[in-house]
Amino acid sequence: MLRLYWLNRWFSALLFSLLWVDFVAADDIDWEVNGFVTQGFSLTDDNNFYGKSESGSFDFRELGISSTTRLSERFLVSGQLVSRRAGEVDDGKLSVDYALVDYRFLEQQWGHAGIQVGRVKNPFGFYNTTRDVAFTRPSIMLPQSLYFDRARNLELSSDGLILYGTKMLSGGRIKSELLAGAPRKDKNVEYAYLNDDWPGSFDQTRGYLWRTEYSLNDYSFIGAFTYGNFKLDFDHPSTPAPGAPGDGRLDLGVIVLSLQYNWDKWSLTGEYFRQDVDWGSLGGVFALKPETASESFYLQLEHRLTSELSMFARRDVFYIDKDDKDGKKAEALLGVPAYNQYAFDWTLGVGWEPSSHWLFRAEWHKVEGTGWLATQDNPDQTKKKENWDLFLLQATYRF
Amino acid sequence: MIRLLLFLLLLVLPRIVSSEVIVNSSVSLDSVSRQYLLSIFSMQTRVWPDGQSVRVYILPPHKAEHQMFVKKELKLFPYQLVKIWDRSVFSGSGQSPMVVESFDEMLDKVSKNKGAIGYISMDKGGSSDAKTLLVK
Repeated sequence: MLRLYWLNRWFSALLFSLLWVDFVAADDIDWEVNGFVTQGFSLTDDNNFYGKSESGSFDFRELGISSTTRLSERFLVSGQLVSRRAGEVDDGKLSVDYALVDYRFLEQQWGHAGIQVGRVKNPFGFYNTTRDVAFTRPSIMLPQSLYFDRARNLELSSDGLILYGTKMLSGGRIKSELLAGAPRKDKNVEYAYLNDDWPGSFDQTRGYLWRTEYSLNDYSFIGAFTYGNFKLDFDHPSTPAPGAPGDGRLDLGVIVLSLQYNWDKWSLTGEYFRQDVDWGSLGGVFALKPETASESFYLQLEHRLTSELSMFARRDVFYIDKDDKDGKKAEALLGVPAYNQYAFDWTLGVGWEPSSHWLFRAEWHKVEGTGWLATQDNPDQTKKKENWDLFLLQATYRF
Repeated sequence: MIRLLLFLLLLVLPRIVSSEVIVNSSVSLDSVSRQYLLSIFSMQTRVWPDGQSVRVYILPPHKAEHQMFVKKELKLFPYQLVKIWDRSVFSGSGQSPMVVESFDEMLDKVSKNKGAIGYISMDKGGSSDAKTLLVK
């Protein structure tokens, strides 16, 4: 805990000094500051999402400020502070999203390569690196089957390094990133993977992610593959109560396949995600089913009506256990409702971007199942409903 | 009569739509591939082969002249270029291009800053400190 505290302090100090350097020394083209403010509204007929949405909730807010400085031809330093308020999942506390030094050691016309050291963004799928920046998302909420909002920290960034490189090919380019480090964790990760805030916590994490992307010259086609593994050590302060997890390790293996086709007015995007979870060594209820594999995928069609107006439709599917798609086995084994084990989401949405600073969105979700619903916002398992509707509004300003 | 009109139209058209890539005279390259040009304007290339920093100048992204340049010279849909910038800026991997308001300002900035690159319409006069970069 103490170590974490100092790490946080260290990053904050780094970020601050970075901004300080900006103000004191740099000329007008070597540094920049960007930021964004997002306010959301959510309304559901049943179940809570982003706060107490059954009665309408404004409990969704994202604030971010980032700075990038070019220290020399090959050195870039950047950092971003983010505050996110989302119901009981995120309390709005300021955190360092990334703070890194980027060194470009190879730069040629046929490609380039470099290294990033510090707190770096996890290269995962299409949207993960900028998932909290509304302007870079295709919708208010990203497909929850892949981009869990209830276990965000683990997916967001890691303390470590990324080696990256791009090689030009005759008709396109290939870009590869390899991350090694300690992914961030918090009690939400416990909720997401252990379904509760148990006595004890994850104290050590480590992992790697490898993402490779191929794109055609004009980006009309982009295909990416992500592969990785995270290990989280769980530490229990004493002897665990019956059923509770004890000292052990949560092992997560991830595979993502991402495909996108782009035309002038249309984009078609699909991603498939498989996560292998091994929690057998934790004991307790987890020993009942020591290994499980979840499966997720979505297909999304975006249409740009004008440069300001766009709409999209999406089908998002999530199975917590791909060998128990209807949830019946889990119901029998653990006594949880079967519909907790999956989620099928139809989404329709519109976006309006009247200027490069403003973005407004509205979307409607018709959901079957509660597979990705946050326990923090829905503590009473028996009150969760299988079929529910979710309506979201969002306004974003950026500079 | 129609032929004459067509001829006149052809004479005028390229002047309206075409732009050319210019770089500060400190840049040692005289020609680049379209692929490399896109890598530069999408802010993925940070350093010129001769070692100096790349400094990219563009017109405001919503302006017709910019969109025309992106479509004609980079062969890309303008919305994708914005997407690439945003993704790299908000993940800490890159910087945004510098935005200027006119071709005159573009020529001025590219002439004054080492390693600078931008684009101007064909009919703009040159400058002794900026040169045309040929796109192969």
